[in-house]
Amino acid sequence: MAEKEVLLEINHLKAYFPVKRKSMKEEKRVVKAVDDISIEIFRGETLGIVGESGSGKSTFGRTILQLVEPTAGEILYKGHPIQHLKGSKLQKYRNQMQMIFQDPFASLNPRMRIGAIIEEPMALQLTFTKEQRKERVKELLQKVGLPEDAMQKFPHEFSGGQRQRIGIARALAINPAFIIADEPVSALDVSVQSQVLNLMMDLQEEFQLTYLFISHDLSVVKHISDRVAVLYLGRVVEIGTKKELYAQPLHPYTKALLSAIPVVNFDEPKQVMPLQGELPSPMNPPIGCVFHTRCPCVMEKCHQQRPTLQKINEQQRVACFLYDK
Amino acid sequence: MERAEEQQVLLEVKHLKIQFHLKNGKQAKVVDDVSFSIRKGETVALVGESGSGKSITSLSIMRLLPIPPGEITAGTIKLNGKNLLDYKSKEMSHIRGNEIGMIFQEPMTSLDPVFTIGNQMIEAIRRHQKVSKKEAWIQSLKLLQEVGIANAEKIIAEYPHQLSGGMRQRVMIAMAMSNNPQLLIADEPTTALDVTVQAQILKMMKKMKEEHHSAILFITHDMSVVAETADRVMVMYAGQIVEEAPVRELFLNPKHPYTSALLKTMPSLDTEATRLPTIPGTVPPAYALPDGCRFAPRCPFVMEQCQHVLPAIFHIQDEHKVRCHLFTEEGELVHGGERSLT
Repeated sequence: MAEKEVLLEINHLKAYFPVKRKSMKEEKRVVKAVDDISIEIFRGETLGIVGESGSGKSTFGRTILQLVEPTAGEILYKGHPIQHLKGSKLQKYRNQMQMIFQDPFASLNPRMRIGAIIEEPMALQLTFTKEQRKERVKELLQKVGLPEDAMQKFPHEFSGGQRQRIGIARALAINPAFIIADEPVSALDVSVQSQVLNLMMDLQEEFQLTYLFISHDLSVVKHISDRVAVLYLGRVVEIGTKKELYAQPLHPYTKALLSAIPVVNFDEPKQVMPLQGELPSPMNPPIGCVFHTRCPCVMEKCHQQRPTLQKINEQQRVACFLYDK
Repeated sequence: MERAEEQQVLLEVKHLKIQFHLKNGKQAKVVDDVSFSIRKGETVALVGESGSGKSITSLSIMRLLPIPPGEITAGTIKLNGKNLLDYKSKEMSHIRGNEIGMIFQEPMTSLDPVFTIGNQMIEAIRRHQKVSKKEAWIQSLKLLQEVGIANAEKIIAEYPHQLSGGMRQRVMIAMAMSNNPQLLIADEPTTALDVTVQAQILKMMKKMKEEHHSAILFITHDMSVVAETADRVMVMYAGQIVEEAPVRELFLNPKHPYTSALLKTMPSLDTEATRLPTIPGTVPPAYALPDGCRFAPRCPFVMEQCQHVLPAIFHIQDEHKVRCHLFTEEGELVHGGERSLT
């Protein structure tokens, strides 16, 4: 992994949503769900995106897929800008990408048989014949560890973990290069969670997949990711390799997030760095550093200026004035 | 010693069996021969995967079980020595919210959207205490401050939708504590919350528990939350408690294969392993339970007798009990299952 090929380059991506006004007199307001995110995603890696609810991590994923139209910024896929694509060209780009959703109960059509669910992306793509598609469905079911007779069944006949496997099979159906997994294991029990995570890692190896793994669970993200980006109010506050970020978190928010995770350790009571309050509303984010309202190391400067990402180590970058030189 | 402890028992559940009558005529044994007790001031965690029957157990203590399709077929639930199952529903409503408080997982659905926080809290207080509205209002304000709501005067006049998830859960806890319950049942209270908020809530619950001298039955699927909150842990699988031990003992010296597997599959921050150990298969549905040990189809140590004979509960140490054939020699028999050892 010395020379890494950039699969996806995201520059200054913004996704704002207008807020309904009560009257014309009221000021126009927007929710800045994704606010100036620049990230590169390398081929074959897993980039973990962590953040609390409301941090914009799901919107970020959806914007990449063009499910949400970006307000500003550019997305380059293999060097080609994609944000103004329409019709068949957009379709072509989307064929390279698939999504795995959080809720395995809501993301499968209850009236469709599993075979039809998995076949649908291929049918839309028009490159396979009917027989080829059937053959491929069987192959995919086997790949995700489900019996062949699952084809004839309906989603309600499966448990959460099995449904998530079906979702994965559907995502793999058209041989995508890039998969966005939005909280794929959050709804599952721990014992099933690890099965699905292992499956995702095996498939990644087999098909050289690139994952964008969105989750609020830092221990799950640590497990599957190569690099991790921490989001706070629509901004990346820290990004780095898994090793760097977990061994030596720099941003006070990352530190707080890590220390908030309950751990099983009876001998040394952990150092708790309690975070006060909750995520401010993205409708009116704090002026200056977005985190200054909850930051234990807040300085004068943080109230006025907004820090930008600074390179600290090889891969690690952090947006915090504490590391300003 | 033994005697003193016995006197302090607050809740005692014995041989509880709950069945659900399914529409297709099948019977689902959702809770099957569950016995445990909670002492005063103790935090006991009930851990299990979804479908293990942990929430149903807690609902039956509150007598909130939907009957039908549910049915308590056997057992007793004693609070301070009195069987709750004997109470009439009117008598039970004095217990509910007064002697036993409950917090649910989803605070949005458990608060009424059309009443202000203040209204709901005052109602909860005035239902069980003879106080004026004014006094109840002052009490509510004090409780809201206790649970860490800084601008309580403002929040008390707001509606649930105006609050964030963490705030709502704080309000729920304040409400549950409003009548100083002896027992607080918390059903996955932090599952819907972010980690930073979860840490705050757990800390606050601990504080509330100590101030109000309540016992907590903490229901969760998250082992790491258990490690930080509970004094004692009960692990539930497919409707039965398979292991019970003080928290430290359970984590350091798990006996039941399911418990140790569960602990191993937890993705943790300190493991470097790339592949997580898994438990093959899934929890059997409650209407098609295996004949012998419920965990046998997934157990790495499965033996011949596990397939046919439901293991009894064995006492290993002071408070360490396990339901597994592996400990037939080591442990002392506590009580047999319906098909005890032959």
